[in-house]
Parts: sequence; C-alpha cells; structure tokens
Amino acid sequence: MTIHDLLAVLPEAIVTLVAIVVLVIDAGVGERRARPWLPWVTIVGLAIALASQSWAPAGGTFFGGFVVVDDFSRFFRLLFIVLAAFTVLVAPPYLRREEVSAGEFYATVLFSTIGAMTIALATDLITLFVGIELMSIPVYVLAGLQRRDRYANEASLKYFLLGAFSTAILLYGFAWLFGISGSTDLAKIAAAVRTAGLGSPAVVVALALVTTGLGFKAAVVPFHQWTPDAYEGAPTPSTAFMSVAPKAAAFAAILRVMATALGPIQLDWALVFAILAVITMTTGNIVALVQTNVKRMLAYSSIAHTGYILAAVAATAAGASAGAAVLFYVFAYGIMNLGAFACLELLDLEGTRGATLDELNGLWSRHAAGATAFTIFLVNLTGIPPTVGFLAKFLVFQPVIDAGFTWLAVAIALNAAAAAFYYLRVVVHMFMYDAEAAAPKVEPARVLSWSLGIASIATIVLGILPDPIYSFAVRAAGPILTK
Amino acid sequence: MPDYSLSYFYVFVFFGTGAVFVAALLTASGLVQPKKKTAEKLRTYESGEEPVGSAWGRYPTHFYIFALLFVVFDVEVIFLFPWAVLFRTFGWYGLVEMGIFIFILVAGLFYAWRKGALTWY
Repeated sequence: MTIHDLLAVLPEAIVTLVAIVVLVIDAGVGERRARPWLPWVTIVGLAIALASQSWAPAGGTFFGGFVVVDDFSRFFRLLFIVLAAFTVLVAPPYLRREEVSAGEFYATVLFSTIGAMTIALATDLITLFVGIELMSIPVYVLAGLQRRDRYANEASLKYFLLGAFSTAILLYGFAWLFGISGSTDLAKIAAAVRTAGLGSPAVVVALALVTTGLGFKAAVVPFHQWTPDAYEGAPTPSTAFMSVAPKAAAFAAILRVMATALGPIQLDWALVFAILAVITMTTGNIVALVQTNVKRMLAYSSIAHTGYILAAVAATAAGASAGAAVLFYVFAYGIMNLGAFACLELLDLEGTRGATLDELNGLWSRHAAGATAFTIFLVNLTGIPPTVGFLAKFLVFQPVIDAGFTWLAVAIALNAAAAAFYYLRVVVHMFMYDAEAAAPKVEPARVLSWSLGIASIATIVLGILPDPIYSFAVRAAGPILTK
Repeated sequence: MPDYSLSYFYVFVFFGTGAVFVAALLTASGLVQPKKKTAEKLRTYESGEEPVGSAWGRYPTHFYIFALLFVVFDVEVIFLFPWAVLFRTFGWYGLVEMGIFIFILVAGLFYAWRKGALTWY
C-alpha cells in the first residue's frame, strides 16, 4: 500500500471527510445555528470531491487488486455525487418542517454515497460487499430519521429486517462463488466459472443466491415487497434518495458481478433476467395503476423502472451498447425519479404521508412552477420525447432486440403505454381539477423550487443533447462488456 | 512432534489451565460463601430488567448507546494491537493511516458527547 493507492480513492476520501465535517459542525455549533449553511458545506464538499478526480491517478488497479479506477467507476462517481447534491438541495424545507435532524440527514446521505461509490470501484467480492453494506446501512437509518413518526419507524424496521436477510443471502452466494474459485477476485471467479460451467451444481446455487441478493437491493419482483412500505413511510427526502442511489448502486453491483464474474455463463442467466424483467415491470405498473397515494404510486413506478433497466442487463450479450443503455437509464432515472419525489416536498403534508391524487387538484393555479416541474418529471417517467426518460427507454430497445429478446422489447413497449395512464392522471389532477377547500398548504421554498426547475429543464436538455452523458456511458460500459 | 502440531498443544494447555482455574475458584468460593436464598437473588439475571412480563413493556435504552460506543472502541483496539506490533514495518505511512483511523473515531465520540449520549439520565 502506498500514497498512490490513497490518491486513487481521493474522491471517496473527500466525501468521507465532508461527512465527518458536517457531523462535527452539527454537534459543535448546535443544530439551530448550523442548519442554514450545512447544505452548502455538503454541496461544496461534493463538488471538490468530483473535481479532485483530476489529481487522482488516471486509472488502474489499486490496494493490491481490491479497487479499480476505470471509466465505469468514474461514471458512477459522477452519478452518485450528482444524486447526493440534488438530495441535499431539495431536503431542507421538509427537514425543518418535520424537525428532522438536518446534520444527521446530510451526513447519512454522504455515508451512503461513499458506499455506493465503493461498489463501483470493486473488482473483488470483499470490496463489493463492504460497499453494499456501507451503502445500505445509512439508508436504513435515513428511512427512520423522522423518529417520532410511526410510519417512518415501520419503514425503517421493515427495510432493515428484509435488507439484512437479503444481505445474508447475497453473502452466502459470495461464499459459494469463493468455494468454486478459491478467490474473491472477480476475474479469477470468471475463469473458474468458465471451467466449471453450468453443469456444476455449485455454480447454479451461487447464481441463484447472488441474483436473489442483488435483486432485493434493486427491488426486482418477486423480491420487492419491502419497497412500497419503505418508500411510503420514509421521510420524503429520504425516499427521494433511497429510490435512486441504492438502485443505481445495485445495478453497478449487478453489472460488476454478473457481467464479470458470471460472464462466462451469460447466455444462461440472461434468460432468467429477461423473465424477471417482464415480471418486474408488469407487476410494478399494474399495481401502480390502482394507487391513489402519489408517493406509493411512485414507489411502484420505481419497481417498473427496475424492470426496464433489468431488460437492458439481460441483453448484455449485445455488448457495450447494452451496458451503455443500463448506465444511461440509471442516470436518467436517478434525476427524474429523485425530482418526482422531491416535488411532493412542495406540499405541507402531515408526517411522512405522500399526497393523494385529490390533494394535488389544482396545484397549477397555486404553484405554477412546482406543477410544471412535476409534470416534466412525470412526462420523463412516462417516456415521452423530447425528454431524457424517452431516450433512456429508446436506448434499451436496440440491445434487447440485438440480443434476440424481441418478446422482451414488445413487453417494454406495452408496459410503457400502460404506465402513461397513471403518470398522466396525476397531471390531469394538477391542471384540470379545482383545488379542494382542505388542500394542503404549498411550501414557499426558493432553493427547492429552483433546484426542481433546473433539474426538470436539465432532463429536457439531456433528452435533446444526450451526448456528454451517453458517450460517457458508452466508454464506461467498455471495461465491463468488452466482447 | 513437529512445531506445527506443538502450537496446538500450547493452545490445549492454555485451555486446560483456564478451565481448571475457573473450576477451582468457583468450587472454593462455593464451599466458603454464606448462602441466603431470597426470592430476589434466585431470580434470573436480566441486566436489571424484570425477566418476566409483557414483551411490550417500556425499557430504558441507555444501555444500547453505551454498548454501541463500547463496540466502536473495542474494534479500535483490535486494529491497534497488530499495528503496534508491526509499527516498525509500517513506519510513517502506518502512523498516518492509524492517525486517520483514530481521527474518525474521535470525531464520532465528539458527536456522541455533544449530542448527549454520554449523559446518564
């Protein structure tokens, strides 16, 4: 181990330092005085972490082969830092209203971000596992940060118990992979899996356990039962973060493990993933159709989106274009889903509860900018051009067809059409109905409104000019899917 | 007997000595101690809690914060011992690394202290 190794993980080290600084400021000068400027400390720290990559070594493996810095890890660093910054920008009004400890919220988001970044750096099961745990445990805390709310407690406990259970399954799967190969290095596992083949029962057991464990983290049906309750009960800013960052991190882990370690039997697990993708998107969309609470509806919609991303994972036989589709979708999904949840923070609702459809009636006449931003995010989630949401779905089709899953492409198209109903129903409620007398108060929050405005415009700009992110995604998919 | 197996023999001796020592002390203490069996004394020990009752009862959670803080420093010691033994091998690099590690723990302790976790109610 040398200074060189430490420099390679400089962005992660800086995010860690920022998290500690936030905690110490929060404890040192007191919650009340620190509250207004803690978000800015966090955001400046995240920006420095992102910029620090230019001083870090360009790439290669570090810490004796436990960590790799390549375009894949750099792509996810960018994504996780953007998501954390966006979360921190939209959270303050909600945290103040519900008296949630602000310093703890920002620090916990940062800790989870470090874990997520670590997952993308992993070339070894041990690094990967440490990253997954470092990402998950703060998210369980985030779900229950609103301590006096009954539903937040329920959400946190459910998420924690099922999360711990799935972690055990994942770890058992890793143990089998280690048993097959005698190594925790992903490349060495791949070599052993190639020799053993699917004829070996050990490979089948490992594949099943790892798929289940990672499927839970990404909320794949049938491992999704925790999702609606955890998303609905958690404080809304936490929901916004935990619906995107852990999912993106789960897909980073899925790509690392599935495409690298289990790459030799790709043709065999691809079919499993394709079937899971169809079940996931269909279940998510059908259940979302009948929800009247928008927060719960968005929870089911996030399950449906997992299905679309999983379809691209199933198509990795098509090469780097499939990997780029996964990465681009994860990026687009991150911004649009975080934005959609954050729009609910505009309304002064009781506890952690999300707005019902009727409570959104007439939002257009009461908060025009908020209603417009929410509409743009929903149009993104539906997948209507010229938004980035459309482009992300569009990019999934080609590799899926190239990989020979035409029926999967048809399923995606049908699902996208069905999903339009429940997304656009929210828009109808906001624009075409009059507000009820008991409609919830609208939060006058400038930073929140501006952030939502900028993010919603960014989704349209990225939909028209996707190149910076898309070409980055193509380069990032290279090291994972070189065929 | 090769050195390798001999090291297991040492472990066995250590284990045996420990077992005999504990057994001897407990027996000796049992022989000489006064015995007054009250209901309170014969009850199951449950860290100062009522051992029997409703599972929905309220109980003080202070213990858990102390237990958590203890675990933090327990783990710290696990890392400090091997580092101290190999201090010369790691040199300045090891010193800086351990400094970072302890700094993080101290920041955590500072946080716990300022948030009142160390106050006993």
